Amino acid sequence: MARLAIIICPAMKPSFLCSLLFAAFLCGCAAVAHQPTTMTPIADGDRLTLSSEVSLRLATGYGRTLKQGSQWTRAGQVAQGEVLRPYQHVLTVEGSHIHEAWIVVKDGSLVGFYLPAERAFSAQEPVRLSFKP
Amino acid sequence: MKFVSLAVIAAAAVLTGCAATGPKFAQQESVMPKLAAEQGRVYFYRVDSMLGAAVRPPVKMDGAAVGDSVPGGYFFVDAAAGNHEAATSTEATNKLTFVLDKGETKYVRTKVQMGFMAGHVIPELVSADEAQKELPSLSFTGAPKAN
Repeated sequence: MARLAIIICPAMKPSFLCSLLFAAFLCGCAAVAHQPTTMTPIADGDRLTLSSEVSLRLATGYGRTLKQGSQWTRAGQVAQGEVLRPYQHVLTVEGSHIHEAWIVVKDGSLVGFYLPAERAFSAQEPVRLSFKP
Repeated sequence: MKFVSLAVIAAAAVLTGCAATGPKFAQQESVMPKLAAEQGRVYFYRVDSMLGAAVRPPVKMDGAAVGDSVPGGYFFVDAAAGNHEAATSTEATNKLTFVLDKGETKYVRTKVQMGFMAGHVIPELVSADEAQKELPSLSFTGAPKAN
């Protein structure tokens, strides 16, 4: 947005400005940043229950809420942490497009998302989570 | 005053004409084909709303058109287990990526958001609980399939 404010100046013709805003509108917000990763799956992973609700603000500006009582199945391990898959609910991350997402937890904090369709990791500002077995 | 009333009636007629017609979910479920062993099923649906009712773009899955996003309509696609991408395009293309397991059912709701010149239709993944509350009032818009 700051970049947009810099390039808009009074000397610009309205039609050009309109095109610029139109392009910005079509591009929408930023893509979800992610990097390839490899998950080592766990067969029949046990299930955990989230003890309290957690609200997240994604880097793209979208918000997500992990509900209290939501259940998560241990799905595997990536270099960034342990992957927990939503059980009987869904989680997505959203930017210019939407991606199915599983959470990645390390040392009791959510540190990002595993995007199973992309086989990729998307980092997130760490947020403390508490689970009960 | 008469003109305003006439305009309202005409608008209502146009908008209601946009809603999907076809067998309701419960009726269609009784004749649904069995899922093949190596496949999963994806339901695509859109709740009935006047917002953007005239905007009904094709829904593509992995690049192939599989149906249309129609207010009040739903259809399903049986697909191989693995990674998939659903997309809808109006003035912009919106995509959803997800994985489908063998025997799994996933639900993708398309919803209209305001756009610059035309509404944007966004495919979003929803839980089975949420979808099963919304699907019963919708009409099947897919082609009849036999397995």
